[in-house]
Parts: sequence; C-alpha cells; structure tokens
Amino acid sequence: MIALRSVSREYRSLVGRTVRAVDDVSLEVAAGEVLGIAGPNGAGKTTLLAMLLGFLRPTAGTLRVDGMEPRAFVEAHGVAYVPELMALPLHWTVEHALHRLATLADVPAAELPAAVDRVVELLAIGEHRGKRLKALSKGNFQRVGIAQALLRDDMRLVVFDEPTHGLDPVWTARFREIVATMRRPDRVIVVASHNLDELERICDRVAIVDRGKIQRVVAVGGTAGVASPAAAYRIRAAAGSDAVVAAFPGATRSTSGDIDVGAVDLPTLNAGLAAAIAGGALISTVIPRESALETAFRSAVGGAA
Amino acid sequence: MMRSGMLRYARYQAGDFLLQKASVPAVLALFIGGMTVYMASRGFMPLDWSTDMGAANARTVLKQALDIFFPLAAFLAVNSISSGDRQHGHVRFLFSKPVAVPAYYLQTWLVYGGMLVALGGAFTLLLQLFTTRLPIAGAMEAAALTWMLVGGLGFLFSTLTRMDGAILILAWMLSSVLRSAAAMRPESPLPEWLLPIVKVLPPADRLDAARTALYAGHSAGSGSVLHVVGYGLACLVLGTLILRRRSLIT
Repeated sequence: MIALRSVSREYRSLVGRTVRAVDDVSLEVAAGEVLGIAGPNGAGKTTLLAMLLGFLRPTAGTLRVDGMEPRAFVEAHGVAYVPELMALPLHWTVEHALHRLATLADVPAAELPAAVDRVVELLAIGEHRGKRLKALSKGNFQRVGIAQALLRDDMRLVVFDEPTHGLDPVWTARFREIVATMRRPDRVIVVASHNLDELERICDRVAIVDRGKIQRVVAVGGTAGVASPAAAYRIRAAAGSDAVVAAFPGATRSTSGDIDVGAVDLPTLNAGLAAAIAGGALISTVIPRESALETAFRSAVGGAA
Repeated sequence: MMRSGMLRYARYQAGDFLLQKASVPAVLALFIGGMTVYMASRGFMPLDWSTDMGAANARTVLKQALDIFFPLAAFLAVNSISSGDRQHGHVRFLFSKPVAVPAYYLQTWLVYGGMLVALGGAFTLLLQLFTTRLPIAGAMEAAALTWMLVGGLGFLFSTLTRMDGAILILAWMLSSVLRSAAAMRPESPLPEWLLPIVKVLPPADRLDAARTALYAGHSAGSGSVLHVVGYGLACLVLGTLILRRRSLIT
C-alpha cells in the first residue's frame, strides 16, 4: 500500500547549505501491516512521515500511497494522524476542537456527536470536555491528539508520531491495546517512536532510520517467527547450570549465578536449551538480555541513540 | 468536488472572523458612529438628520466609521490567513483530514469576505436607524472592494511568508504614497523610470476614491472597480497556485 523508491529530501538554507534529511530510502509496506520507525533524534523520522502525509515533497524519488501521490491520497481519504507536536489553538475547548476536526474530517453531521462521544470515552477525557486546551496536562493533551485522529474509524492509513510521549504507564499500555484493535487487513499503521519496547510490542516490522537512511528493517512481534535476528539471553537454572554452560559455547556466569548467552537466533537457543535439559538442567527462566530490536538498533546506529 | 464537511466547517470560520478578527474594529466603528449619534441626540451637536446638511453629515459619520472598520478588519482577517497555520503547526491537524489545502484557504477567504460585507451592511443599517437614509448597498460594495484588494493581496503574501502582515502594510503605504505622487503629473516628483513600477503597485488610491464615492451614494466607477477587482483576483489566483505547489511545512 505504501511504496517509497529512492526517496530523498534535502533542505537548503538561505546561505545555500544543503542538508539531506532523508537519503535514498526505499521501502514497501503492505496493507494490514503495522510498521514501526525507530531512530535517534534528527535521524529523519519526522521528515519521512511528513512526506508520507504529503506535507513535504521528496526532492528525489517517488512515494506512493495506494498508487497515489501522498497529498492526493490524503485529500481523497484522509489520514488518522497524531503529530509529535500537539499544536492546536489553546483557547479551543476539548469539545470544540473535536467537533471542528470531526467536521473537517467529513464525519456526517448526524453521526458527529456520536463520533465525538466515542473517542471521548475511548480516551477517557470526558471530565475535560469543557476545558480549554491550555488547561490540560501534557498527557491529557496527548490523549486529545489521539482522540482527534480516531474520529473516523474507516481511515486506511494511520500515522502516529511519538504517540505515547507524555502518557503515563497506564495510558501507554492502553494505547497499545487501542493500536491492537485498530489492525485491519486493508489498513497500514505507521508508528514512529523512540520507545523500542513499545515498537516491539505493537509492530510487525521496525525500520531503523539513522542519518536519513533506513539502516535495517527488523521483523518483530508475533510475526517475527524463526526469521527474527539473533539476541542475547539470560538463563536461570534451578539445577544443572553446568549443562547450560556446556550447551552454549561462550556462555558466561553472571554474579547472580545466572548464565549469560551471547547473541543466538531462536533455533540455536532452543537447540541449546534442549541439549541442556537433556544434560540434566532444570531451566526456570529464559529472558532476553536485550531484545532483538534493541540489538539491531544498537548495531544499526552505532550507539548514537 | 468540495466535501460537505468542508462546507459545514464554514460556520467555524465565520465564528473565527467574528470573535478574533472583526470584534475590535467593529467596536471602534460602533464607538465612532455611536458617539456622533449620541451627541446629536443629546443636543451637543446641532445636527438635524432630516435636512440635506444632516444627511451629508450622516454620510460623513458613515465614512469615518467604515474607513476605520473595513481596512482594519480586512487587514486583521487576512493577516496570517495561511502562514499562521504553518507557523503554529496547525497544518498537521487540518491537512491530515480529507481537505484540499487551496480549497480550505479559499473558503476561509470567501467566508471572511462575506462576513465583512454583511457586517458593513448591518452597521450602515444600524446607523440609518438612528440617522437618515444611507447607501447600504454602497457600503457593502465598499466592503467587497476593500476585501478584494486588501484580502487578495494579503492572501498572496500569506502563502509566501510568515511576515505577510508587515509586508502588506509596507506595500500598502508604499503604494499610497507613490501612486498619489504619480497622480500629480505632469508636476509629479517621481522620476520617469519609476512610473511603470508604480503602475503595478496595488491601486490603493483607486480603492479610496471608489469607497468615498460609494459612501456618498454615488457609483464607484467601472474603471476603479475593474482595476481593484482585477488586481485582487490576480493575487488570489496566484496565491492559490502557490498553495497548490508549496510544501506545508518547512
């Protein structure tokens, strides 16, 4: 549904200095997919999203959403979009903002009050309906931002830019549930975030962006399967820890007595565990020392984050 | 084809105009008109609205009030009409909705202009209730001409730069001074080479002349109307083309 082919975006300053924010990016995203975009500050994530939404034109390459220029797609269908910066007139009340944006989103007049009620309930901002936006906390303002994006539930493209920024842990978890319920076979959800744990939980793939380029695309979450990249693990054995060490060449014992295993893929991990169990080990815990995504991210950006 | 949501959104744009753009100029105009009527009604001024002199005085009051209201309201309305949304980041919310950028701002422009004309008519009607028969249609035409020129020019500047308000004032002042000086020919103090440049400046002098004629109940003159409307329309079209082409964020 989304196709980027050799997309670049350059900015030229008044003194003629050129900065390439996005550099020769190619990527395809299929309908039904949840794609994460991760990267350090200034990596080019927001510029990439701005082009996807048609706010910016690429200076080179082509970008198509459902076969259309992004701006034409947005004008025809709209996008459920939560920007990184919540910029709405602060004298608007929550109710007024949602009614205005629902009207602009072409929610039919007869359905508009119900659509506003639905998102107010979904984001639990009922007690703030009459408040001006300037009176809201950062977290509540962010929830209004998410609410306005969900006013129509038929959007085929959903874009979240740092959606849990300012949300407390309860609402961060609630946001993950909301994204899970938004999955549809004909919909693409794109989430840009610094929070790798969040991306790993909600996305199918994560594109790691750095210095304007996609450095790596990592399969994560439920669809990752055996193709997921290698990760390091910490194994705790109730008995027979020597068998665990023997099963994993290069494994080391931590000060707590756990066994640290270097980067292995899932088949290697399971084969090692089977060998250890066969050797008499009683495994109590296996946890990733760092997730596959964290490992890939660290390797891709060279610790820049 | 314009969506119904966009058309329904016009009521919010009308509300924005009334509350954020026109309220201060309207209070000023009401103060000017109201003070004169009040002083006349209390005998502080020897005005009898039923005489020819009274009718002329009523039209003078109308001119004084609307000469402040129309330009000021038009300037406040068109200032930052599109640049403000870019500067404050509102574009990210507005234009992730199924909305065409030029259509959105053209509708804003039309709603603001329509409101200015309606308020001009309403103000003149109100003044007429307390004085004598006034050229309501003429006042509305003056509002429309003011909006065409000030609004069209401001619309173009706003598509180009966030400094649109300052540039609009500068262009207006420059045009008023240079065009007045150029009109003094053959004794014009301007050098010959400057005259072709002056010709392409906004016809502020022709708008002033048209408005004065309209407040007095006369015709604005087709030459002035065509010049003012043509100039404003050209700016509007150019601004629309720029909105179609330019990036929404920088």
